[in-house]
Amino acid sequence: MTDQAAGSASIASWRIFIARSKVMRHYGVLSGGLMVAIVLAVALLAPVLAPHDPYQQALLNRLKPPFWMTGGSWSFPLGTDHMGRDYLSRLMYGAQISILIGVSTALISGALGTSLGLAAGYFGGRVDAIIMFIVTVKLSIPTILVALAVVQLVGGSLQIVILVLGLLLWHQFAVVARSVTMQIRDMDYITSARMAGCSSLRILMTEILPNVLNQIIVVLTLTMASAIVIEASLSFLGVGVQPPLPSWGIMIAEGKEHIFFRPWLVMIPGFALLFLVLAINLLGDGLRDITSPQGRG
Amino acid sequence: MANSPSAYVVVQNLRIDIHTSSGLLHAVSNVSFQLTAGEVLCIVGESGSGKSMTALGLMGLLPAAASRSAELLSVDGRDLLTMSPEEKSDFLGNRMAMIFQEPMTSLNPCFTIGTQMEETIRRHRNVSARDAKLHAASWLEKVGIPSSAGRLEQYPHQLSGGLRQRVMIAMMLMCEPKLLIADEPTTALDVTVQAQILQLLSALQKELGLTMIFITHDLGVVSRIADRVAVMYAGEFVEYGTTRQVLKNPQHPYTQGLLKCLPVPGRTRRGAHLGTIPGSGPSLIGNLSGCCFANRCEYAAPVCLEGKLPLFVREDEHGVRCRFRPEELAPLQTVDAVPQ
Amino acid sequence: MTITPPLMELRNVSRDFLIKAGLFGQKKILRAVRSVSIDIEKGDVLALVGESGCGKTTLARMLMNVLEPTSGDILYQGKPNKDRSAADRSRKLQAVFQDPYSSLNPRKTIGSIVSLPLWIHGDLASAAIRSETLKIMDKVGLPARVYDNYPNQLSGGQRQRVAIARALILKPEIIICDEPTSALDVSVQSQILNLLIDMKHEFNLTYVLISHNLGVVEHLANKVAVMYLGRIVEMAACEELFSSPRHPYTKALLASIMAPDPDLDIPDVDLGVAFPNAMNPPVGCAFHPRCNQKMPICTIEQPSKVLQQERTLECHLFGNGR
Repeated sequence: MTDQAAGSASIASWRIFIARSKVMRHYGVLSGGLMVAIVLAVALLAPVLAPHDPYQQALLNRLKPPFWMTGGSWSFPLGTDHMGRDYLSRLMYGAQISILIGVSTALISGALGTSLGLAAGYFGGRVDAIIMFIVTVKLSIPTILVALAVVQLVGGSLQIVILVLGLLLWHQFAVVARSVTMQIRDMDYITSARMAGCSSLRILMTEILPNVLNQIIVVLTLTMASAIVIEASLSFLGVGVQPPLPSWGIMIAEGKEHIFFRPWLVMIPGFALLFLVLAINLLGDGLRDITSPQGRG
Repeated sequence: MANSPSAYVVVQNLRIDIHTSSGLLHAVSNVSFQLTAGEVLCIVGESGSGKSMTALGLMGLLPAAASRSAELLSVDGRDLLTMSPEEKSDFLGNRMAMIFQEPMTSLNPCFTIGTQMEETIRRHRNVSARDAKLHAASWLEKVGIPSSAGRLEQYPHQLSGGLRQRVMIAMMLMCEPKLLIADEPTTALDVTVQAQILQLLSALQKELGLTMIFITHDLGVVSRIADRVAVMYAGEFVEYGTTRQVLKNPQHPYTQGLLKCLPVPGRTRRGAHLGTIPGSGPSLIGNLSGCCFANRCEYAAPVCLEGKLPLFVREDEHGVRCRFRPEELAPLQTVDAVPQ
Repeated sequence: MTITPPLMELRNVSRDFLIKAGLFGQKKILRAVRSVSIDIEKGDVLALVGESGCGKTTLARMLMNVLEPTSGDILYQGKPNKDRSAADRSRKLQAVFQDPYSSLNPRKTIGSIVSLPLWIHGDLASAAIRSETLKIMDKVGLPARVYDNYPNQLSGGQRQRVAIARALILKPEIIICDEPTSALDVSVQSQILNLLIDMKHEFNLTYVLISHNLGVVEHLANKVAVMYLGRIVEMAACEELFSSPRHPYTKALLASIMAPDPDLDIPDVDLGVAFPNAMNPPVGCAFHPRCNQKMPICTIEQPSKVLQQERTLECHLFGNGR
């Protein structure tokens, strides 16, 4: 009497076909994931991998070139900076800072923006109008300038930068969560949950949030990437993470005085930044491609 | 089936395969039929049976992942398989037309229906703007839309579903095609409007001598509009014959089952259990063997799982894709036999 | 003698929507349901039929308590809905929806979908909830092995069984079936209809059936209300209505049924092509632009409700004294 499992139905095989082929075709996820994993591993294992203490100054060894250039040596594979600190070690510890900033900023802004977006999308009406007004105001705030101003006022530190960026980068979460919620709100399974007597909070948390999450993960990666870039920019301008912490932005800022004669001082951390941001974006793009057709259905 | 010279549409061994990561999906296999000019063929089947794929395959409008092959595919004596793309686009516009289920997706919401209709004529005919407009207005009149001058200035969203489908029919028939393929043209419409659109289509078909291939899942619609019926299941025609043959004297267990599933006012007893077809269709991926209906068939025997079946055709051209001759099956039950 | 009130009663229920036309456009009122009164007795299968946009879905959503009537009352066993607790409402009334793909949350397992009402209402322990859930799944013909499956691993028919199991688990009195089979294939439709029939007998249920498939309506219903542009234009017992329709619209609807009989022709419903806009309904009888028995009065005056032997009608043809 019962129908066979859908695995055998031809419609189901259509859907599987679409989902699978997207995963397989998407090398972005694979390469992005691998690149992120490399940076993550380097960051976590920095105390083990780094050949030197990143804070150890040695003025006798200052401004050594990397190993592939004349005058370079394997004892400082990527050379040293103007204080004689090992560049490779600083780069590795810098990855820690970048990833810490990226992840914690994305989590703070994600929690904030997603809650606002869910509320706006689910309740609609006046709640929606107010939240969307806040988003509009937020969008008209120049992020870097405000971050600069705030950090100037309260002083720069890792925690402050994370907090400020977390409060400045939530709007994408709100917009995405809102639009997805609005689509889901009118689904019959939401009506059914309401008829079963679920509270709004319960519906938001157990029925809607799991369906919004796959879109949010994509925004999470994109926000992470932009948080890393903004932190580097702030540090470059001298108001982000404070020296002697080895942030990539600080490394670029310190290297810029030597850009004509020792360009690698800028290029090495610059390339690291490019590598990480590219990796995260590739991963995010890929995740969006893979998860979207499965989201519904 | 031998090719008779009078056949307007000849399809022989049409196959459509779709490339998937889990293997080739045989959406349509071994579909053969021929129609003389002016005949109406209904292809009836459930979702996933390949009926829409067959229609798209005939029009050459398949998605990129699908591939089509056939021994012969000819319309009006022209071989569609060997046509160059330019010839084909010319031929499609002038000889063949297709109507879809949801007219809103085939009409451009940014232009008035007048603009769209005039453009359609002028793309295929060398006429002046004024003539095109007159032509469009007269066609709207023909599909039963009065006060057509005003209607031409309206946008698709200003029309109801039934009117949109009428406009779509007018647009498709304006270039006087000889073969019309209609893919579930009335499924999205309300029942009263459905009856009206069917009436219109049928009247136009007779008036213009159209050959029509009508795709639907509704056996009621089939019974009223078709000359011939093909029952499609798992990508194959499992039964093929005249409407009377197929609906009055169904031979394939699937067709019989479908007819028993339908609640029909005045025939099925109210509140009683309806007939069912247990299980669901087979996977169409990979190598298929045996009868595609065997896993749901109440008459299935071990022999049904072997080899591929041809369409067994009787002398009166009633074809059944079933290993058992009808007389070997249990006594047949048709709708009429359901107790009152 | 006290008269027991009907299980559910609609008294002059209306629902309006405010529609904004464009950015600065004026707000317009869409009267989706207008002054509908129905009694639903225990054990009834009441069918609401009509074309898309006739207000049957709005009416159903009001019955489901997810939409409040603009005016009028919905009473349950004589008690107005607004005086009942939300828990009581959901214990007594559940729904099965049209599209088994949007009615099940794709991120939840079948077991958690079916058991959700028990978690909300019952004070059962989780083991008891599980066994209760498996019991009801068995009743609707779902194998226990799909308990931990996700909806996309099930076929359309199985999904609709899940929806029915979810509706039944609190043992409600009434189930609103909103087009329960119209998204399904014919061979699956009959399985679900059979299941609905069985469950009605087993749990002594009352159904409100919304459907545009008149074959299904005739098969299941014992009472039919025909809606047109927000009003009930004719309501009668099912056999009565199908054997002798009176309202011209009902006649057209019934004429449009197409049984699979090659001896018959395409039915002539004899309606015009005009399709009235619910935003801007015709003056007088809303049906007059399509009616083939239109009289002068039809374009002026809204017909009032007439009771004729257990049948209500809104049509000037059957007005007082006629």
